[in-house]
Amino acid sequence: MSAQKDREESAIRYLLGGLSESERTSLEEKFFADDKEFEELEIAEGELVDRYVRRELSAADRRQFEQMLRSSPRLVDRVEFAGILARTVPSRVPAQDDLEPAPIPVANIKKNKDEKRSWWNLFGPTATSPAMQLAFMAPLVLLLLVSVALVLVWTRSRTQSERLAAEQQRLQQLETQIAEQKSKNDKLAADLTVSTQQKEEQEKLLADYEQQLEALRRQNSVSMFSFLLNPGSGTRGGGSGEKTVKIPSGTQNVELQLNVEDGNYSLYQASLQNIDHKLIGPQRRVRPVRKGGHRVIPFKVPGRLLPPGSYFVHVDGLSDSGQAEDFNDYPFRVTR
Amino acid sequence: MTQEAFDKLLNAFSEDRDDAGELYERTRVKLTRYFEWHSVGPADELVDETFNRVARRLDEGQTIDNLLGFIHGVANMIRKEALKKRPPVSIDDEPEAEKIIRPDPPAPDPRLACFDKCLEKLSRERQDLIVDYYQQELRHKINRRQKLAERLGIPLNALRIRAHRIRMTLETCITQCIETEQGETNRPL
Repeated sequence: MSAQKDREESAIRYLLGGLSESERTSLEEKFFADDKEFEELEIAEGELVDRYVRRELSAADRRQFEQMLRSSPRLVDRVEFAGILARTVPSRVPAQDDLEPAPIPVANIKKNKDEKRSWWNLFGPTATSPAMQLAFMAPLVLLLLVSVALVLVWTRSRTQSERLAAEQQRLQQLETQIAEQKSKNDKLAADLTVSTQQKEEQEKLLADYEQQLEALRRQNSVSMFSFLLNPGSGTRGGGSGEKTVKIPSGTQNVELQLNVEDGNYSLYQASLQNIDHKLIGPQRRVRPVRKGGHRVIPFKVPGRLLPPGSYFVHVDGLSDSGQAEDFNDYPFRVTR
Repeated sequence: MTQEAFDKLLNAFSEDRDDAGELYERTRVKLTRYFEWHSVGPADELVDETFNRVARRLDEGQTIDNLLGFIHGVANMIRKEALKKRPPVSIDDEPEAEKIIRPDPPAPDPRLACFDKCLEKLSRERQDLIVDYYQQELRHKINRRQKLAERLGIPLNALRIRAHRIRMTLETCITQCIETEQGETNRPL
């Protein structure tokens, strides 16, 4: 497991740019050739994101990671997800019920104590027998009664002594249980305090991280502009005319979302051309995605390639055999 | 890249068209991550450029024995070129994120709703696993993960991979869910 841990730490150091040139090259060769190695790096990326969210990175590592975030909207999404995960999967603290000691039947003890009865009360008043008037019989009757009384007293006394001893023992057991429960309760209460403090710290960290995330999003929002483009003309026909788009100044990247609702290709090939059919930038292969209720192919273009003027994107659909089939043109006009 | 050049590139991955398509897509993801992890971009443009150059070499008739190694080499070159083009900026000069005031979050937060929705789509076992695995209490994290692995009867490393895959499924689901919820297309991103 230690080797595994070393591997993960090495992957994290790679992501933070902390490996030597030779270590970096060796690791990259491995992950290009082996999907399992690549997955290890993705796992390390997840761990790094979690550490960032939990503020476990050093200041230098944190700055390095934020540098990476600035060039990857995908990573910003991952950080956001980690924040949700941290908020939605809260630390489990012991349930309140667990902190309560088990109910102790103190009332029962009291009741039992109250139930102790004086054994001498068991004897009722001795009735005076009329026979006692008989002087001859009196000593015998008296002797008999005293004997019976003594036997009864001895028997009752022994029973009561046994009951008292049992009650005493039970009382001691319950007192021990109360002491144990109290100790357990104190410990759980202390744990709860620590957990609450940790939770408060986590919440503060999350609030901080959200502030930073928002800042990063703002930076991204300045650099990227996106719009939906419907087909103009092509083999499918029925398209709309040229769309005019005002691109904000300072936009670094423009994402054209080309509506391919009518197409049934799983892969398309798109190229940006000016009005003279001259290619601008490389031809791209893109897969359609569903966005805002439309099936679109995202096509990114650096903003500097789009000065004011007329353009169109030519899109071919790629058949299963890889053959390019003319699909549609997407004309648009750029103003600034 | 011409169609012919692209065909040659796919053939270099595999003679089987389906396998070639899969390998191409997987390599594309790896290249994208490669550029992201080196903080150069836009990553997808650099990936296109990498494939264009490799396809050009193949189209010119160059024999490439180790295609993935060659692609890595080309990507490395393109990364260095991109770094040279980028004017060096001290990371200390970057704006301080903490100083920007955060606007009030929308209520109810659609991200949390999407998280719940996507979590519900997972089987009960996978839900339990992801929740158990990502408990945030640091003190007990390592022990808990060890115990979780023991309970599931799998090594800890297998648990890491399983949790990672569930997490990726959730992340993809949430991204799509948020895009659907927002339903806006013609807006600055």
